[in-house]
Amino acid sequence: MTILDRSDQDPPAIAFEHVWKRFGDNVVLRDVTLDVHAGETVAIIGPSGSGKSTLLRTINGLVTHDEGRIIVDGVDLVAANDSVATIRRHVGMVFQQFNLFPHLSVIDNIILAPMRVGRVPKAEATLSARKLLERVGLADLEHRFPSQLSGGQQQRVAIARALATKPDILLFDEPTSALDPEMVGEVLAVILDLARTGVTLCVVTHELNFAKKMADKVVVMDDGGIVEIGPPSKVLESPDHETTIRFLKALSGGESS
Amino acid sequence: MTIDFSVIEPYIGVFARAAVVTAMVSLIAFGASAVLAALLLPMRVAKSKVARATIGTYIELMRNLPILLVLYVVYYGLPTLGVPMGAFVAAIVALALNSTAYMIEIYRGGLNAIPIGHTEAAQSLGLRKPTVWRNIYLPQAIKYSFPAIGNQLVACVLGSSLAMLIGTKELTNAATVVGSASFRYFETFIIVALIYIMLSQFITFVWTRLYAVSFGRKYGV
Amino acid sequence: MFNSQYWPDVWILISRGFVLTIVLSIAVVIGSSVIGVTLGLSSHYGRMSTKKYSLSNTLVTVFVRIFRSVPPLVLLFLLYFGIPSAFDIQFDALPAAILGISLFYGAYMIEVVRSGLESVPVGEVEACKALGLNRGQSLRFVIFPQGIRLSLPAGTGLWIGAAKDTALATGIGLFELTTAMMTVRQITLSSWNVFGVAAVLYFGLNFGFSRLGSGLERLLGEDRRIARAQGEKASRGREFAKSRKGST
Repeated sequence: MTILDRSDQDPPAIAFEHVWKRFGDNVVLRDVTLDVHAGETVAIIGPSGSGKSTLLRTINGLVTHDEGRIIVDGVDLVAANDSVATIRRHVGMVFQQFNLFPHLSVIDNIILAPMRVGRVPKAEATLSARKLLERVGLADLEHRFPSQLSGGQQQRVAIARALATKPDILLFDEPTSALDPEMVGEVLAVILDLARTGVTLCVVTHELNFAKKMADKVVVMDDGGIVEIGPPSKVLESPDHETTIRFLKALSGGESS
Repeated sequence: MTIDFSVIEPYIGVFARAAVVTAMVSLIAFGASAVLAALLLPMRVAKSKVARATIGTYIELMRNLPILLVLYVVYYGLPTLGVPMGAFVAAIVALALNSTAYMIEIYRGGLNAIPIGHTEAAQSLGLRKPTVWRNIYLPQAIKYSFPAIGNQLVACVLGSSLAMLIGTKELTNAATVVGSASFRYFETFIIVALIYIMLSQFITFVWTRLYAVSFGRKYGV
Repeated sequence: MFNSQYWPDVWILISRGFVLTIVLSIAVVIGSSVIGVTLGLSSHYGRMSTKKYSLSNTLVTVFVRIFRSVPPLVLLFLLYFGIPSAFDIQFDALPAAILGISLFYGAYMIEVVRSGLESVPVGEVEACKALGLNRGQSLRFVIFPQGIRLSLPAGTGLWIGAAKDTALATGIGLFELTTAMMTVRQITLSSWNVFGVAAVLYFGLNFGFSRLGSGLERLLGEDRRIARAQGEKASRGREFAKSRKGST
């Protein structure tokens, strides 16, 4: 499903309208306005401290915004706390540090939320979990514990765990930044695979080649604000904004890939 | 059932005097233990196995035996060896013996908490030992062990109440005396409990302020 | 050791005392742990709320501040002498001793439990929220299992403290080990023998508790868990974990 197939009449899956967020005196999100349409894959890039992670966290309510509106799957997140609980069933998140539960086995990590939140019976949840593990390439590791897995394997389990609740939207917060280079590929492959399935993806990443390959649009952030939005061919190859140019130069200056 | 706090009024003087005794016992015992522990610390981390074993045994003894037992040994036992012991002195000695063991471990903990990077940096800079100790180790050790030292001071104050059982005229003793004189045990013990609470909270409050002023950072209790 | 004419009496007295001390110690370990875990959990549950203020947290904090600041002996006296005097309720020495010591050490235990629960990595708590688990579920399935294990070392120390302070029951007339020791001393007129016996017994008791603590830690520990889940012996579980730790 490409951008062209989508009808512009459909309400966006995620809509930010003039959103601000402050931590004390620090402005972390500055007048953010952004639409993400259903099925789109959005890459969010920018220097450290630009607010990328915070942006992601306001989508599933881990961070509450101060001003403006955030509408996810039709639910306005300004209202009471119930709204956050509701949309968390439709929004999954994968973290930079994986955040697997070390005292639970791989399979138990995955079936916990479907069973307790989705009220899915254990047998059914286990079956679905096994399919997910197969999909991320970890079929025989279901009884292992996170401490027995490599970083790349742990992150793939984390992805399976996020998928287990059958979300419409998936958020990735620098999913490969904590991985040794040789494991980055296996995780990116899984995410690419997901991008093709019609799930809405928001990926904060430093992997520009990856963004080029999988994103429908790239969002560049700096100092809490959105600096540039556009298709990867534009933003990553012939950007308009000075910040983007500087940022891309700095990134490619240090990388050998 | 009647609760009447006014009956305590004539005894306020008794409580005041007893509180002074409590303060003296606790502070002298604590002070002595702070000094003794500093002197014994080198033995605890010494290279000699004998030294470490001796101190280690002492610490284990104090860790596993009730303070009351130590108190009885000091008060009833030492005189049989020819050492005269009044209740006041015995209380201080027993409390200090117990507290020193914990203080040694607190100091050691403070030293251990210094990030290894600091010791490595000091060594690679070629600084002499006394300088390193005075400028790098000691200030940091004090900072890291500060909260625990405060807790130990409070522990001494609370521990002093045991001295009642050998007749020391401290606060808990006063409570039983006043209680039996007035037949108002409930009111007496509530008042004494409140005095202890105020003492403990005051010490903690002062200690946290002292920490904030000296080290300007979040108190890590 | 002792003058032989006293021996059977001495034996009986010390045994009586030691048995009561053991009973008291077990009771206060259980009592303080129950207080610590229940109040610690409810306080943490309150703290997890997104609302700025938590009633349960405040109440528990007040409880902790009060009961950590009053000497256990005073608590015992208050329960044993004070309550009957004001309220016409009979309070026996044994329950008074158990409750008094449990309250004091329970207050410290609450802090230990709270700090254990708080030590669970923040990222995991975020993951719970992102998955849609509510506070109770996060606590039950993720935070408590890990937090309680983190609390064990400090908790074991408190158990030993509580077991030692059962000696205070002397003050309200219970015939536990310290009372027995002093009684024997008066009968035999020799101090150091009986001090030594009492010391050894207390040592043994506390050693037992600290072994219990480390046994629990191992039982709840990772090696055992891995091994149990995979149906293998514990030692092989440990090897598994070790072999993988290097590859992250």
